[in-house]
Amino acid sequence: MSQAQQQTAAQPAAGSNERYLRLEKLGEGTYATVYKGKNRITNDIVALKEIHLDPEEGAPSTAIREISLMKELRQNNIVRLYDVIHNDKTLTLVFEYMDQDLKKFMDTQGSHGALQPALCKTFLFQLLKGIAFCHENRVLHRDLKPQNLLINSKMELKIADFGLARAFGIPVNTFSNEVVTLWYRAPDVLLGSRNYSTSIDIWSAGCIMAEIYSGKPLFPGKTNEDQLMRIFKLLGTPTDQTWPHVSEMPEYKKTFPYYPPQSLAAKLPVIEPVGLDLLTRMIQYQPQLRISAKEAMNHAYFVDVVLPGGPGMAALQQQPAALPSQAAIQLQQQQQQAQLQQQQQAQYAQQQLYAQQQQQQAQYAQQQQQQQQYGQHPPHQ
Amino acid sequence: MILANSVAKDTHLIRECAASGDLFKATNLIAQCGILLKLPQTAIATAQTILIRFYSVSSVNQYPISDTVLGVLFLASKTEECARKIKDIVNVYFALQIFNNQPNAETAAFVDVPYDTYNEYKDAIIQSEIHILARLGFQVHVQHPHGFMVNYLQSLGLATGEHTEFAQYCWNCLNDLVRTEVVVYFQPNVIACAAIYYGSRKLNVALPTTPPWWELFDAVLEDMEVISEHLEALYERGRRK
Repeated sequence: MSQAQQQTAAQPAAGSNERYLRLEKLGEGTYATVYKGKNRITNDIVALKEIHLDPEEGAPSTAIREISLMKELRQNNIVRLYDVIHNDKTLTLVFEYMDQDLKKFMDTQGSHGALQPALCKTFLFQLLKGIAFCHENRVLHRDLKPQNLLINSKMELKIADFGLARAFGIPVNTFSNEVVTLWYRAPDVLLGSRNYSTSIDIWSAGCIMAEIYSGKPLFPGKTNEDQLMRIFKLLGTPTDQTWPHVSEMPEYKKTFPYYPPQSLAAKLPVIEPVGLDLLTRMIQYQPQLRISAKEAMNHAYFVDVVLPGGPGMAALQQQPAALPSQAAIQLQQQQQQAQLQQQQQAQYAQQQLYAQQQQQQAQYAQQQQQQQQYGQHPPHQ
Repeated sequence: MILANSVAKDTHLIRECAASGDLFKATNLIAQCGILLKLPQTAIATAQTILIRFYSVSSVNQYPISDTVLGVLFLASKTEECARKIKDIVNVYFALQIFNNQPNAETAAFVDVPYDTYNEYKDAIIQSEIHILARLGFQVHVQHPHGFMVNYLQSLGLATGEHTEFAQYCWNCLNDLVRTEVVVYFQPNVIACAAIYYGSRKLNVALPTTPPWWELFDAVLEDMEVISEHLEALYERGRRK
């Protein structure tokens, strides 16, 4: 073979085939390498995820799950899997191409990582829409984090990396508790629960919400124990009173130090009150009290959400990452609080089922409102 | 629901496979291996369903049953989050081969697998796994009928107390049904209804007829009749042996 022939032959790199041309490397994941690729016929740009097949282990279970679930999940806020190409040594997944992930977007577009509130809102809405679709179709993602959320120039957000996802049936089985990157892992999973459900993804979404507003991860724990302590320091150490049967969970220790709950408003002043209310509902200790993705999408917080392609989006894309003026925030807050009150009244009847828990929640909400009004620390018990 | 089970369109392959008794042998072998591998019942049922799906689109002549049994065990243990090592699967399969051929061999479980044989099996597993994934287009997600049936029995008030025996009978029927080709013809809720229908006829249990109870669970009488016939045929095969 001549030199020239060798070079042309080298172009369609190993793992891709005559349908796709492999371009530059985009990144390396846990079990795969991702390249930018081009469809030779249509010239469409795609992402090629090349998975190496281990001669001892066969196809990685993460790849099997990802493909079997993603082939079926077609929705605008979930990255499309177009095709799967396999040969003896590799499996290549052909995905819709996206410009960057949310983490990178925050680093480059945000001010110290923080995004402007209107942008946070549109991303969060799209995230919840994607999650709602997964949950409707009985799929748990189990690994939501900014690195797994992809953004394109239209400010569309799409969920990617279903390597840890699984389908859930009825009744919910015993699952592995080694799921979700530590920082976004729900306290029930950290405490050893194995029969978690959709609420596990909502906790992660709550953590992501706080992170895109503030530019900093909400609970950047180093170990399982440290992760729990960070959660306890903000939300208060759970007890059997605030979370029935928590002391019976496998990883619960009697020696956990007691921390009183802190004010979310003080920790995250950048989030408007109606947003803090949604966040509070997403990071509830008790999984069954966490708001569902579908309910969250109907929360008063999203009344003024701007969506990709919708009015107001063009302005949002061009605006520098600066905070709106104080007067504008106040006006917005007044409007939203009125809406929030209306919604809370409507929800009250529904929540009477959880009479006890509701009472606690109401107390908590009251505490929070007081804190907002007087800027005080929560009353110590 | 998007993740509903895939339904075969080309049925002659699986019909031949079932008629020759190959399918029965294969699902039986999966159950034996699964128990020795201490796999959860769900994983065993998943392995059986994947095998039946595979032989709905592939020929036994092209893909030998023995390789596919190994492949689906390996694959199902991964998708059901209870992965087993290739080594363990090979050991169990090898011991079972000896035991099934000479049932009196007490030492079967302690036989070492010869090195060359082990490597042959290992390659067969890896090859079979990728064949299965490719032939099924990665549709290896399985929704089992068991959860549906428990729900239905509960809503009919037939799950506890004096009805325990009936519930157990239906459960057994269901376990037998997921070893037949009905899993590629019908959705899990219909299979669950058929098990209850079959059980109610065998044990003379009265169920609401106005309106017919199965309409609540999106099943039709014809489908349940067809599934019952499959079950009857399976039991007939068992009696003949």
